[in-house]
Amino acid sequence: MSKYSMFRLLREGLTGNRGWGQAWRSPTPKAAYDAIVVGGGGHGLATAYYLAKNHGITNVAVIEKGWLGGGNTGRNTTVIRSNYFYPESAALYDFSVRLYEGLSQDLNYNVMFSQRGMLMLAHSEPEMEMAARQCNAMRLNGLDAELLDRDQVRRLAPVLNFRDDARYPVHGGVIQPRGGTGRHDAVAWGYARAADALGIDIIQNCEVLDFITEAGRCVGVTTSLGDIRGGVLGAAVAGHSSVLAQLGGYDLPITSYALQAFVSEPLKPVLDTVVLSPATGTYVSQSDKGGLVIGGGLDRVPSYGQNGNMPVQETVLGGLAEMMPALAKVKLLRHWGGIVDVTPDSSPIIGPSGVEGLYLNCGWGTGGFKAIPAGGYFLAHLMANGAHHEISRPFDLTRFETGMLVDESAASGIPH
Amino acid sequence: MTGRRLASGGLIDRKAPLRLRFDGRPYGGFAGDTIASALLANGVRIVGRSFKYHRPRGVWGAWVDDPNAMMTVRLNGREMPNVPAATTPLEDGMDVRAVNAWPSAKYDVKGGLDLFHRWLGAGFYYKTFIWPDWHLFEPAIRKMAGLGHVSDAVYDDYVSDQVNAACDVLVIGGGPAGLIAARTAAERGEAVTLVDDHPDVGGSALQEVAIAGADPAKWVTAQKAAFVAAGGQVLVGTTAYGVYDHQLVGLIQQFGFGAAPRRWRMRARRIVLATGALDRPVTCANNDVPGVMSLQGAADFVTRYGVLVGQRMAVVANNAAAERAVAVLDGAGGRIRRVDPAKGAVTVHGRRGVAGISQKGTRRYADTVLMSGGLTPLVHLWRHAGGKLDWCPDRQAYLPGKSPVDMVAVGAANGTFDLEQALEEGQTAGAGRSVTRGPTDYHLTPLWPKPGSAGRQWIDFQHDVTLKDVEMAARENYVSVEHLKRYTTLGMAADQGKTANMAGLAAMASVQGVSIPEVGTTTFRPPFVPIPIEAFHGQHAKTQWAPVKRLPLEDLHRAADAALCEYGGWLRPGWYGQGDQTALIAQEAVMARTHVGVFDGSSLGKIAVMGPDAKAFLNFVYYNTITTLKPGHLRYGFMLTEGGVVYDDGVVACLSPESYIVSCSSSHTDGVLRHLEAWRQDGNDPDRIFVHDTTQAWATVTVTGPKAREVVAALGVACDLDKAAFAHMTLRETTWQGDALRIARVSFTGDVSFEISVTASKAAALWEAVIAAARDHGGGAIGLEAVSILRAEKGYIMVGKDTDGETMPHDLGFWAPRQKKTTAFVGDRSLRSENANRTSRKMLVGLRVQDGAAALATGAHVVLPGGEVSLGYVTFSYDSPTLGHPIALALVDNGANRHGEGVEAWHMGSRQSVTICAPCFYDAEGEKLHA
Amino acid sequence: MRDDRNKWRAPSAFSNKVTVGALTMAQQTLARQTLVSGVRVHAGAGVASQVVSWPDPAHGDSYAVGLRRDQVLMVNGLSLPDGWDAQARQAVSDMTDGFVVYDLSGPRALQVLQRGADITDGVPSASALRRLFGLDVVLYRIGGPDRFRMHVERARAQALQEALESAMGFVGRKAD
Repeated sequence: MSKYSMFRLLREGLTGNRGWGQAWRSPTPKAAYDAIVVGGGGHGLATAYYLAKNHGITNVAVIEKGWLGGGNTGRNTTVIRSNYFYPESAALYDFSVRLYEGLSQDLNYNVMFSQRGMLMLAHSEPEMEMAARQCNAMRLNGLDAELLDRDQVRRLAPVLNFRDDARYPVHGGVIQPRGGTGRHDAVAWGYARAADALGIDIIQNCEVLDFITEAGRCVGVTTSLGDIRGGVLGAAVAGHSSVLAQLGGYDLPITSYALQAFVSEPLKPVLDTVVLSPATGTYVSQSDKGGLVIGGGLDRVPSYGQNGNMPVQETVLGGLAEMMPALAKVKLLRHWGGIVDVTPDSSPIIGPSGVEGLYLNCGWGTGGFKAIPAGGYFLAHLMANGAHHEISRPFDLTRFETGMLVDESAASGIPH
Repeated sequence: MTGRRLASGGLIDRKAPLRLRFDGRPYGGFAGDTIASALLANGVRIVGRSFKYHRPRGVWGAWVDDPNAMMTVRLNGREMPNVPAATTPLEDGMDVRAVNAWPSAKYDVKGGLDLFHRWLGAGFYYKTFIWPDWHLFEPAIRKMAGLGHVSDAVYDDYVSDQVNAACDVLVIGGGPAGLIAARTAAERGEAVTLVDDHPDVGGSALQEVAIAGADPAKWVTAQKAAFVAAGGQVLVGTTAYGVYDHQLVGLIQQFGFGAAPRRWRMRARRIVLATGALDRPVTCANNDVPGVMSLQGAADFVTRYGVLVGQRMAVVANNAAAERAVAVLDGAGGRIRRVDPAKGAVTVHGRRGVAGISQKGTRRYADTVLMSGGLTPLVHLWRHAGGKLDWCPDRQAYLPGKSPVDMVAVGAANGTFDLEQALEEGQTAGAGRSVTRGPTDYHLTPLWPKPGSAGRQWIDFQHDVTLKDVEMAARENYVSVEHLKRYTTLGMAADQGKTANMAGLAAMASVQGVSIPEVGTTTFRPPFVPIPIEAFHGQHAKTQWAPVKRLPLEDLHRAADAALCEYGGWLRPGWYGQGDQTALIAQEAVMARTHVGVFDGSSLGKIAVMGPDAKAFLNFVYYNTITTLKPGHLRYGFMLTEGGVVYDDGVVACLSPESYIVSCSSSHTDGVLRHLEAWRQDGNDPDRIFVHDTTQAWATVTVTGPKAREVVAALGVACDLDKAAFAHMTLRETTWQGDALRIARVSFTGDVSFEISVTASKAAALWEAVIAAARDHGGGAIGLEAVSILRAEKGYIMVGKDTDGETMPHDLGFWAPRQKKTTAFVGDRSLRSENANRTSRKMLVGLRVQDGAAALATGAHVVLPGGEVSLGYVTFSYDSPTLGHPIALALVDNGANRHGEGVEAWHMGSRQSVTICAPCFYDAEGEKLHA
Repeated sequence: MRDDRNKWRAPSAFSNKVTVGALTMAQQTLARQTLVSGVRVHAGAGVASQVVSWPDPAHGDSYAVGLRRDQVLMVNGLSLPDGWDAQARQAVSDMTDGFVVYDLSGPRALQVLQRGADITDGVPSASALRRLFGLDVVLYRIGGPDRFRMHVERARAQALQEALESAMGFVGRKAD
């Protein structure tokens, strides 16, 4: 691949930018590969990359129904963090954050990971106690976390609501300084370009219509471009996981919902960190282009529609106006939706599907973007070794039989 | 030479002059002007700067299609960011400044950035800033990015009205086709709402010479009058911004600068889309110079505002619909030179304003270039609703195709640019019939971007995306329409690609050698125009956002100087009196332990479960056995989720075999009610079980402490309160002052305690009588903070505080039912899982600190001495004023089997030695409780 | 804990009657409100002849309001003892003190309600249960087309009144 650098940029600019090569090829699929990854979003592309980079497996196809990175990877609110409670979650998500920290250099593609901090507000004394519980859990898990009082929050984010009539006054908060945001499309494109450079075929506009099984083992897929066989398969299709499960004949405890996201008109810098108010469920950051990127809770009606409806828009945006009343006059530019695959404990499913030869990486719900590097890393590990990495083991599908859930919302003490 | 005001014409009120300032200089306008029309009338040419290269920008279009004139506006002490000049009515005294330009749009210091454009093309930031660290470059990039600056002021009266409405027919767009459709439908007796985003209806009618033989303005007035006479509703200044499921349309109605708009949630049985069409720019060399404008826009500036945008105007148009606009400009006295783009590539000359136009080597003078590369129907709402688009090769445009909902498009929105045909379509749609597009006279010579052609050619004016950027994206294989958009940021600016998208698609199609429909389109998403976040907020704000529940005795508590705090969704007394909170709370706790305390327990749930199957039903929803509960008795129990986790705890009272009261925790009443209703209807016979939430009908006054019995006796109830006659965990029904009174002997504090309930309207009388008696015995009112300490001393849990989303009943020491209960209950299967039976489960324990040590921090984690692995955490911690030492409750791995073990409480890096003990620090034998 | 007493308007500071232009909201005192559940409540014994639904108005002083197929709210009906009535096979709870009742009247009263719910006459409903400004209420017309009665649980009365006052303020603005 043609290397990216400031020097190269200067040189190419002088010659009409004609020397930049393709970021990735558009190959015709072969009849067979050593490994097939179904799903060309961030997780799928990262899986292919790590298969090549960590395991030397390069005869790989990534099969994507639409255009690469076009699902949730291109629709999320770009937050990267690992401020989780349980050691299992902390290990998983922080592994991902550490990969993100070196990702731009690793992929030679600027993913713009901005570690501006992830701040979760506390609005009362009891909530500060919960924040302390969370902060201590993080620190004991080896993560960076600080408790902030009201004044410290105010210095960090003066645009927050410090008025006397605030419905939810700021009491303090807990911040993970290493958390922040990244350029979501760049993550997909960066992984795609790097994987392609290592010889991986990314097949776009190719829909998986069925699995090919022989003697109980999954040996390939039937697609809109024909049959493609693979020595081992991995599926990372997020909101469509239940659709694929039906094809594959395995069960997943997943319900898919629409999740909406919002962006405002671009503004000069007004917010330098990522902030969540647990009271309203709204969270917001300001992108490097200037728009406020806003998110909140799910639309509660199960749907594959990738659209949402007004009640959630009102809750999320109204919540923003409560949290930062000065921004009520800022204009919403666009809102959209994706499909999130939600598991009973809101933790992902990484591991064997139950069908031999087919491994899964799904169930990330609303939190998949931050975990792209880790998801890819561990699915690749499974596909290459046929066994779990220590970090992915607790997220195996069998936990729903044993009851050994990793239920992060349970730990938060929020009325369950 | 630039724009000027015409001597007559336009819809402005020339008798109402207005003043404005732009970038510090004063100008004049009239009522009816927009900011943009006023600036053009004054000959202002440079109104802004482009986002990336800071190139000078002039007004392009007369309405929502203008991507260039974005302003910060101040008026009457209010400042708004990113105000679109072309759609914002001028108001007297407006102080207008171009965004993202300093010191002014005309002389912007960053204008020099354009010199570096070769290195700042699409996606340049992905290819650099990688080393050493993005964080070094980010602050500068962020400062350069963004358009307007937002002031930190909060405007208290900036509150949006939110309205739900319904109609039979929603007609979107009040141009000729829309007016006819609306009138026809209204005259048929349908309830019709017509919306138009301009200050009045009329739309493109103003550009016609005549409509149905009449003067257009008179024709418009006549249609509107007939419509209103037939019962129709007109909303002007109102934009339909999005279509949602089940034909719910979002409308935003403007009320002037600084006033919050009104948002309508309009549910329509059927929708008529008459939203019109926009001019496409022509992609040619230097097409972004100020003075390059939309041809239709220029005609609009004449007919609406009486402004001629230039003197010597070159018209570059490829389609028949351009003639109407040219006629308007001609009639206004404009000097027009026609440039036929079919004859060869066009180049615009000039840097800060148009200086000329050349074609095939011949250059001519012009101060304005008016472009129409064809008309693009506005189909955004069609797509929101899930309607399909069909590519029309004749019109070189996407037209509305099949729709899954009851929606039709008419007029220009439907690709029908002929007036007569548009009127016919409007009539058909108004009558409720489906619209078939007729044959069209409209034709154009496709004039799409030519990759490889010379010069810098703009596609997205605001984001500075050029044809070369599209070529580069294609070269790098970002060829899908979504990749193209995201990589180049084409179509992602404040105008969301209204002028850029088609050219972008066409350019990519051309580069790839495919047809435009093969490239496809990006997703159309609401809102059609940017709308303030306040529009989703409205009165659902401050104390109307999740309002707290109020106690019937709140006024009395206020009179008693109570501090009122939010607990579990209720506003309840935390403590009474002014002064040091900790001292006051301590006093209350001591008073309740030594004498008597009175607190308001009215918020506790009182859910009546009745019917012949009530007993069996409660036995099913509860972990504990309820079938053995006799009338007049109470039992403490847990409701579990199906996962076996404690959802709520509470006390069940049996009034009779068919009548029970579930007293659930205050914060969970709504949830418990839903839980009971769900199970009542699923797997049980709902005709034999009924659930009523009677919480609000009763007020409860709780009396606790060694003197509790004496205080209750002072009420004079006909009830033997003696220890032998009235055992703990029993209930008596009696009367007081003619009203039914329930007295439950149940304790949350560990002392003798009576919960007295009376109908809510008698609460004050009861409270005052009890307080008076309490004072006689050295006691008084206590708040929830004191209660919280007392119950913790006893080890009584608060669900959600001392339990988390994993806590099962046996973790709290309640083993019997899972071992003994033989009938099915909610959650029983989960109690048999591997997870439910492991030894490392977190269990409720107490923690003792060393003598003289301080209280632990709530939220501290428990670790082995010197260890760094969490074994659990502190759920409650307080320096007990009644016991004289700190107490704490915690959830600890295998805690019940570790009493006596020395561990540490870890908080933010510091450690404190503690000993695990039983979660009870007061009256472990229960002597006080049963006294 | 934070003392929020000044954030929330005291109940005594809420007026029993509020007028904005031609709109009036007035708290009502009803002699009796009884929640009755059972299979035969709509037609059965002990229930007043009229079961009110939406959009047709209730008339007179004494009527029942339909809530569910098996539940009604009786207004000024007979005095019934709380609990399970095995004879009539119905469950009874006296809710006279449990619901606060407001009447909203005026030519634009429906528009006030439309600030808080997607409610029109065009969609009839056998149940008078509504979610209005996010609060559960029993809502129906009474006496005529422009008068509406709302029953809200006591703990949320101030919240409903505050919401209605705001909405009345919006509707009472200059007609547009």
